[in-house]
Amino acid sequence: MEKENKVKEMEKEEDVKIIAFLCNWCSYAGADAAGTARLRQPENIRIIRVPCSGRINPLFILKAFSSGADGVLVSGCHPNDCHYTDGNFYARRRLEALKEYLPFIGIDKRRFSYQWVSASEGQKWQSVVVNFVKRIKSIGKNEPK
Amino acid sequence: MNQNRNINEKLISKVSEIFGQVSLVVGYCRGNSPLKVSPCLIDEKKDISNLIFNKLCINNLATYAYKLSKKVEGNIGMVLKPCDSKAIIQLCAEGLIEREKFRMITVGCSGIIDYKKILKEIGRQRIISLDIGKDNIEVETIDGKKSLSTKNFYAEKCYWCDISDNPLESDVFIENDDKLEVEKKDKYADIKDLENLSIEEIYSYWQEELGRCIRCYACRNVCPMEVCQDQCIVHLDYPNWESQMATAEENKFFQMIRVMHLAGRCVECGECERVCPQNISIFKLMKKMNQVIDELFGFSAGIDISQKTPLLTYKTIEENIEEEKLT
Amino acid sequence: MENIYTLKKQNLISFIKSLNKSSDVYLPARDNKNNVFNFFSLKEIEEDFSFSSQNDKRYSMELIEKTRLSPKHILFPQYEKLLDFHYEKNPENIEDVKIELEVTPPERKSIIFGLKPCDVQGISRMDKVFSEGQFTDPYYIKRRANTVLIAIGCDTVFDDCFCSMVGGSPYNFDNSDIGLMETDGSYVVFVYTDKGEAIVENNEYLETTSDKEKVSLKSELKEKDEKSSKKIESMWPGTKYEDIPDIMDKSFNLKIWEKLTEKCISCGACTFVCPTCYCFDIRDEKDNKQGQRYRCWDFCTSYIYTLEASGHNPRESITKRYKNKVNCKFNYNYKRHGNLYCVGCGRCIDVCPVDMDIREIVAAILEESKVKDK
Ligand code: SF4
Ligand code: SF4
Ligand code: SF4
Ligand code: SF4
Ligand code: FES
Repeated sequence: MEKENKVKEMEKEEDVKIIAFLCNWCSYAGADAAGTARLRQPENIRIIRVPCSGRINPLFILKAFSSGADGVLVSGCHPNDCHYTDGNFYARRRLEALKEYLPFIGIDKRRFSYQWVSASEGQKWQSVVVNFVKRIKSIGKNEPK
Repeated sequence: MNQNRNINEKLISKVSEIFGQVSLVVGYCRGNSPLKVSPCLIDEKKDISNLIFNKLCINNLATYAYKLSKKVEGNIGMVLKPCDSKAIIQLCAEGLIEREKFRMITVGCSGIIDYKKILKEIGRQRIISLDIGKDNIEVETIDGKKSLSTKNFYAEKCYWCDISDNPLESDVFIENDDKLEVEKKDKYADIKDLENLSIEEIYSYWQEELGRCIRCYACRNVCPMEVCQDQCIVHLDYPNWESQMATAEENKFFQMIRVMHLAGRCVECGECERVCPQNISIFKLMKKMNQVIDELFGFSAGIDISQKTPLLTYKTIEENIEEEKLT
Repeated sequence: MENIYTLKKQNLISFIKSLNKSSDVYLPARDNKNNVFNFFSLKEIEEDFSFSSQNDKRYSMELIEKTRLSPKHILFPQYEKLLDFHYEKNPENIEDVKIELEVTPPERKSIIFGLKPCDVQGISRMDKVFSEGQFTDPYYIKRRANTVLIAIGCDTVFDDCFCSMVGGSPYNFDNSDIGLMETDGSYVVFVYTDKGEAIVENNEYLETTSDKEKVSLKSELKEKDEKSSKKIESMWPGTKYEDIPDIMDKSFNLKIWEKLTEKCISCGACTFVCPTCYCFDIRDEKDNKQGQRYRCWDFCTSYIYTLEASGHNPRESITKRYKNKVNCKFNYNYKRHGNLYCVGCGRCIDVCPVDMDIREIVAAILEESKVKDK
């Protein structure tokens, strides 16, 4: 019981829970750069590092939602810049299909977004997350009644 | 039912003709209930006479294609409806089976009756007798006899079928004197209905539907395209993709595995929904993904043997994808 | 203990409602919206439920047909938590682990109303599995002890019914606490056990019968049983069901198995609807330092069922798996528990996506073994 209360409190603090999948070579480095430059970032985001956006199985995102995430963000290298040449091109197709599909199972598609952020774009990363978190907050928690 | 006899005879004689070229024929035989026919695997000439084709031949026999192609030496003959042949085409396009190994014996189709619709209409699980005519279906249950209008009881896919008389691919085509005569329906009508609801209502709709699922995996195993069933990630412990506690949420995730693994591959035979013992409308889930794939990439599965599945390829510039800017 | 009452037909509904007060009543109901027909808990569907089908309520009671799923899920749920666990490790000394376990045994009292005789036979088979022999199952036993079984005999027999081919019959009330027989204006209520008597004792809707009436009602029951049994034509005439296990042993290596089973697609539909399939899996699922142990249904026609960690699978082909299924029902469990573990409800035939018929398969094996004998 005590534990439950603690969890509840934490949830209140954090407000919304967001999972971000970042590719190792660009976006993760980009987020890192943002940190080094001391750009303020919202705390609601949990980052999971993956080798490439092409590694992201759409099921990762669905799993995150079914485990209680309020928003999921994916970020990889810009098209044509993928470390593995074309991982992000494959990813784009899958993720776009997933995004269009989400509303059909009762998930607001604004809860999901995929972005391209390079290693040098700390600034861009900051604005992406700030905007994304703002958007998720405006939709509210993903608490099905 | 004269017509029936006619088509059966044609089928039997055609199969006998080519039997030398194949070591096995997969076809339909009489079933154990008046509602159903049974798939049968024929490897002896004497059994060919058991073959039938009628309006109850709803099974998609292509479901056996992949497994048999690994097991059977020699070629395989398959009795297919024009729509079933899509599964063979798609399997070939993906390199899962070899086209040369299969003799596609395609039968012209006048539409297939969906027995689940009949059961729903009569509110019964079991029937005593059934007679399907051109205009009427006479069905007898413990409540007595009832006459239903045939045109309302076709399988959903028949209402948007445009290949019933000219299959996309076949080796032997058996023409049917009966033709498909149905009023065309919009394939996505039920999807639109659901999409008209609010996001919360859609969520609870699936929660209720999939709350009934008993995880029997019939939907997965009957699918001609789901060739990886024995290795399905549903059963993995590490990583534990999915709990075996069959809650609505977990069951939904199971269907999502299917949807994602069939994106741009599902040939819309509707078998998954037909076999579901709990009558869950999972076909909608599949159809929706196909709609998305079609809108984004202009692709439908099972049409062109030389075309790649859209998710296994890409373009550097995607005309139909508008990327979202978050900055 | 044996007693006989009568219940006027117009009182059936009130009778069921009166039972629902002290226990949870489960009854066979059709979900008219989705056309699924299963046992539901009356308390759960009450809001949109009617006892008669001539009504536009979503759920309605149905006593003639067999349900799609067997009632086993009431006593042996599809998944069931066995215990919660929580552990703490001492960072100073890794061998010092504190584990807390919490077990919540099932407490609910329930009555299953409207069971077919084959359903009751199914439950009696489950009983043996979970409460006989070296290992017993406290969860099942507890739940079972709190459950009363009310069966209703079958005047209508469907073409997938074959209870009398496997040692049962359409009016067999063995193992039921209470059995109902429909007559013109009323139901005859045969009470067989103390458990049954306890729930109907002093029930205002039941009328007692005289000793003379009892005798004639019992013979009426016997007549009905014979009449209904006759409607089922055996697919293995001349073979007694008790002889099947030995024939199965002899037939284990027959080639024909392959031919008989090759169309099966290895799903779990038939096992999950079967009233006697009891296989389960036990799993732990944990999140950080806490989690639960639960059990869930498993099925032998699945490839995964016998898959070993090495990657080897002793039953890699569907023929081997289906052969096991048939032998489990018609051979192994007969030797273990003295009963065939197929009760002839025909549910597997009803749900099979590819029209496999266990009767045909057994019949074909019996036939083939005769040929071999000659
Ligand atoms: S979809 Fe076309 S080919 Fe398939 S069953 Fe219906 S009418 Fe026949
Ligand atoms: S997902 Fe369903 S409709 Fe699609 S191919 Fe598989 S069984 Fe057929
Ligand atoms: S067939 Fe139906 S009940 Fe079985 S696993 Fe699929 S959705 Fe669930
Ligand atoms: S017999 Fe039928 S229901 Fe059972 S596993 Fe095989 S295909 Fe599935
Ligand atoms: S390495 Fe960054 S998207 Fe492929």
